[in-house]
Amino acid sequence: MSKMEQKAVSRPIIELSNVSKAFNGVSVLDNLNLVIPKGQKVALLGPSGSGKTTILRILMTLETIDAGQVRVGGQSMYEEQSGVPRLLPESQLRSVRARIGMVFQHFGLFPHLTVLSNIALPQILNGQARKAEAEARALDLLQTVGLADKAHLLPDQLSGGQKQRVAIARALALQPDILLFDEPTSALDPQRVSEVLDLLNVIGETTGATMLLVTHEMEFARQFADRVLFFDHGQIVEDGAPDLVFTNPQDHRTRAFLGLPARGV
Amino acid sequence: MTENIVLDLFCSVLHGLEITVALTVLGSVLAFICAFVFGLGRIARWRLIRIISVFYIEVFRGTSVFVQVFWLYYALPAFGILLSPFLSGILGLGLNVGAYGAEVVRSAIQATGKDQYESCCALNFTRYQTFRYIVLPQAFPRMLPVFGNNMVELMKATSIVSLISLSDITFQAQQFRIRTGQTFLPFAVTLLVYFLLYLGILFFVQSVTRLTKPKSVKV
Repeated sequence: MSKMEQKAVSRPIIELSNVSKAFNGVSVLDNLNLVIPKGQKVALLGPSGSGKTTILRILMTLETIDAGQVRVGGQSMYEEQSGVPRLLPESQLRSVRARIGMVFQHFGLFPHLTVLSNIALPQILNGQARKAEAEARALDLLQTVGLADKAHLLPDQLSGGQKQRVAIARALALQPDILLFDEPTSALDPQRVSEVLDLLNVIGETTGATMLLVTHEMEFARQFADRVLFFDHGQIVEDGAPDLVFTNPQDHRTRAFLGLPARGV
Repeated sequence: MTENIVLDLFCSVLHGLEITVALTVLGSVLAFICAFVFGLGRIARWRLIRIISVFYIEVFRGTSVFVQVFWLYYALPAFGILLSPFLSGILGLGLNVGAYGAEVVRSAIQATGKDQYESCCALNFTRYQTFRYIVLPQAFPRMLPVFGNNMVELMKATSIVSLISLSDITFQAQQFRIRTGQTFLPFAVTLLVYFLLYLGILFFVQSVTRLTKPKSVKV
């Protein structure tokens, strides 16, 4: 393999360089560096408020950074303006956003649209498909998530687990390179969690998309992810393969979080 | 004699009804337009538009609709602007109720959940698409009940145009009283007509509400 090819294979799809972010003076991300290669499935773990969700929201441009740079597919999302990073103008951001899909904890479905329209409309508005084609693709996706028979219902007529499966189908409909899952099972009844996790497994195996998953489902993260990041106070304190991080974490904060005994001195 | 009086009353009411209905419909159309223009202006990105909108809303909500109509009809001529009584009536009522409507539009739009905007961002919608396809369709049904109330208020307030020489139902009833000396009959009929108009507005608003309700489709 030539050097050029090697570079192409390992080219990162997501790069966060020296990213800092504070909310009302409280630091949430502290000079964070993170590189994620294309196609990797990454689980982001850690206590609440440690910055996991903020990373997803920054990538989706729902939050802006205070310092640093974010690149998606090699494209910078910020430009320096007198030392402060400024998000690119809306027109330029759209091409970056088009590569990213996000699934929220509370689904964010459109209550006035049927399940089918929830999935079809974004394709139409993004100019990816005309109505008939978009609806056909939406039905296909509903088949995939096992809800084809609910296509013509309103979101409020579905259970939490079903809503989340629709939200996942909606994100998939735009065929993003990157999928962000922000605690997709946290708002669900315990008996509904598995239907969403099973679906994530299917997607992980079939789409080849880069996936970032913020979750508190440790067991699931372990078998799902290629890589586990453990966050504490806005910093990555553990970064490695799931088996390594779960069985033999190096950092005492990870050990404490996972309920492992502290290392003998 | 009695037959003559009844016929006279019937004709008077019919004439007056024409004016009252025309004022209600045209005033409501103007109010609806003002409600959207200034309701959206109130939350626009540009400061100047926000200031103009707030000014309009507060001035017209904070002063009497009587005085506003008098202003248009009696005071504007002092500045060389002559408006017909009918136009003064429409403008006065429409602008006044539109100011209330603008606050309805603003609050209905601001009641849209943050999650809806975040979903739109994640689905790469433009600002216009977000408003047109997600925010407005959810906010509009929220506006309707209050719009209905406002329209009823506007209809009832049309009686003030009798004070600027427009012959609406109230004016006709007064004239009838003066002509015939009858008091019970004209005002009883007037009350009844206003109430029927109220029922008409109620029916209209309910029909529109039914049309805008999201529907799950039976397969």
